[in-house]
Amino acid sequence: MKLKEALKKKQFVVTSEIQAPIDQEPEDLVRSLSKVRGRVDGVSLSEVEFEGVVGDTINTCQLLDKNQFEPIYQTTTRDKNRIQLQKDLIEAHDAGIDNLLVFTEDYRITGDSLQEMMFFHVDAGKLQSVLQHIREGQTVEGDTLKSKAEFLVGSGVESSWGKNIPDLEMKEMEEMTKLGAGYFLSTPVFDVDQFAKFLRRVDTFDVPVIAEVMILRTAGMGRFLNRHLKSGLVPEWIIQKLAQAPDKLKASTEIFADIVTGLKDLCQGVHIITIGGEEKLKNYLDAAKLK
Amino acid sequence: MIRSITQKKPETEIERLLKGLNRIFIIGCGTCVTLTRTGGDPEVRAMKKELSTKGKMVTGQTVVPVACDNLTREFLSDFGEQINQADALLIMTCAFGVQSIARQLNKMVIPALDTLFIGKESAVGLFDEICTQCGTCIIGETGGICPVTNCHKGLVNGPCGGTNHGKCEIDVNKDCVWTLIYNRLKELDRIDSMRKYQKPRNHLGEPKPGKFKLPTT
Repeated sequence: MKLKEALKKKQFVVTSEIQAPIDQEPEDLVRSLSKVRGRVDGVSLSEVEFEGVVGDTINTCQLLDKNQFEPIYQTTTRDKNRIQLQKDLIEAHDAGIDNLLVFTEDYRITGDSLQEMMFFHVDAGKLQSVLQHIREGQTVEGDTLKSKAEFLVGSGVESSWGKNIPDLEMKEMEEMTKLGAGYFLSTPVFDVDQFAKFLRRVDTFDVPVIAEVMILRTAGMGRFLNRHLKSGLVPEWIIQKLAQAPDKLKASTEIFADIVTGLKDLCQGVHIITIGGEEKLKNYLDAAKLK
Repeated sequence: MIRSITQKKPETEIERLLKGLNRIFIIGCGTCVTLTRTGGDPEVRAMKKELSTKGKMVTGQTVVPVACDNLTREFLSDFGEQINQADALLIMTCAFGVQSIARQLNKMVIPALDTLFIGKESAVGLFDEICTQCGTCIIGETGGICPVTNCHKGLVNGPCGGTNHGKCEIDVNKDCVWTLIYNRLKELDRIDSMRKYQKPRNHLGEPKPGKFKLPTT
């Protein structure tokens, strides 16, 4: 069943994120995912860049499609102006890709290519200003395209409000709803109770919310996220459980299963970030009784 | 008052720029760089000492009142001989000053500072960027606070996911401007102003290099 259809039927969907391969054969990626074929509703491919080399996301999406996975083309508005975004979206459509997952993306402060120009000409929600044109068969400049393109668009939203201003975030979501967001993807969820509060407020939009769940295999990964992604994102009790567990894999799957179980009755699905551990994804799906 | 905010170039870069140039005349400025302590009298003196210890001959030094002013040439005419003897002028002003002096004197100019931004002194010793002169001002709808300049990504339709407890994801010392805008508009009871969809920015506000001529009547 297509992801769009599953969401429409209010099924609890399971998607996962992987990276377009740079230093491995795309076929190896398909092989490593083969254990979860039929158990995930979509596989999103992020645009990864390493030392200036960019993975071919659209081609990898096509490869996944041929191998009975539903690909989700994940793109950001950081590294492209509207012309490049338009080109990529048309190319994705021509390649038969139905799903998009869009982020504004972090400003590049670590890793490679720190001195490169970043665009942010539009933010993720306003990527619709490009999509709207190609949906109507026009370029952003108003010229006619040979075909029209329609996508199911997932929009990344900030769900761990903490001391942020919820009203401010709500307005963002309200606007994205107006612009036709197909679903919202949350920031990583570790505290299910806090996430439930977020969901109660955004319920009025009537747009499915998928919770992002990260697979943490070690305490070090949790500390890294807190240091580099967002302070306090991973609760201390999770870091301690992973640090003290004699069997890290067991502890990791238990944490994952607990979070997913808590989410099952709350939202419309989970988006699993394996952080390079897609080989073990099956163990985690089993532990959380996902399909 | 608007200020040009500068910082001293790394020593190794200044050394590289001065390679093969032995006789140097140093120029500071009495306005912005004095305020930011990058090109006032104490910094010019320190630079003289630094160059001398590196074996350079400093033919003279001065702090001009306003380096970017057209009268700088006249001020510098008092130092004619010392400037003539120099292989290059090491200029401890912002890029406006460096370029003004380069236009006025037929001499090789070496900037000792990097110009970071045009800003304002918000508190003693604290400078904030205020305007990037984008040519398409939208602050009439954002409570007089500029997101193009003060959002790290220049977003014009609300914050990104990196807003964090009112601070920016890239630096906890920098405010999330969309939180500031929200609070300001709320205070003014004009939150609805945020609902206006700002089209993608027109990057053609004033194509570089900027040029403006007063219309003739």
